[in-house]
Amino acid sequence: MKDINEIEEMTTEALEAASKSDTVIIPSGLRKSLETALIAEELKNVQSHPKHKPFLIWGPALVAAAAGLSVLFYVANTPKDTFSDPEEAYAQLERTFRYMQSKAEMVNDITENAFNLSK
Amino acid sequence: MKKIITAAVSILLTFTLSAQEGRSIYNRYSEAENVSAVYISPAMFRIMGKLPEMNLSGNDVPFSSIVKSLNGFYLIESENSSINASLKADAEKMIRSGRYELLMEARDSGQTVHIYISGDEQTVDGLVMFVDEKDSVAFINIDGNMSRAKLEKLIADSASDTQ
Repeated sequence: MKDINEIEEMTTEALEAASKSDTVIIPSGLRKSLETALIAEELKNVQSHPKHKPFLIWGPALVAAAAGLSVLFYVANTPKDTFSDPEEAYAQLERTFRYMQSKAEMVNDITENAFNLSK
Repeated sequence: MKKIITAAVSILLTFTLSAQEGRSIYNRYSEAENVSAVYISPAMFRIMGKLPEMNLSGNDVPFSSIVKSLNGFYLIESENSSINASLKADAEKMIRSGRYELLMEARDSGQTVHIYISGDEQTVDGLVMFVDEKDSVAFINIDGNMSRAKLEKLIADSASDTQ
């Protein structure tokens, strides 16, 4: 009986001739055991790729967790009002807009100077 | 399904992070040395909206109508030279996010002024002003739902009126 190394070294033609030879004894039940092995392999493949049901559970949970984290992050990063008195806050806003006006006036001055120079 | 949930999570996180622009700059620099910081919350603006009508002197735009349309105010004035460069970089990063357009820019005597606004033809939903002087910088961010015409008149036209 040939060993596995000798079988691997055989050519295709030699393998075909050996398969047709009546001296090769095929064990009984070989066909059945091969079919069983193939079915078992197929079942293993099916079980290793389960349906996507678990995603339907953790997917919405992930969205809810992201929403919760977003809210927590937003609240944690909200600063405290500088003024407790609305009139003080109003006065600050007024000062700020006056400051913005003074800077805009700078733009007007530059434009006017450029216009005068061009005359 | 997986793609929809991933997209929803990304949008949620992006929205949260993008809403932090002025706030994140304020939080980062408000506690630093030689920095003056002012924050006015939406709640305070609602209270201020109930104050009597007032105009800035020399201006015919009712200032309180602008105030009523605001819902966030951040001011950072820094004389801390060690953070001025990074404050400027953060403000520029905020502007480059694509939301803002340049309203006016001026350079004079070592001072640079930039005013940016965001919104559409009728409404301004955000304003950023950045003033870079030799030893100090000022960052102002105002959020709200302001009439564009009234705001531009308040800032630009009124400056020429005072001359």
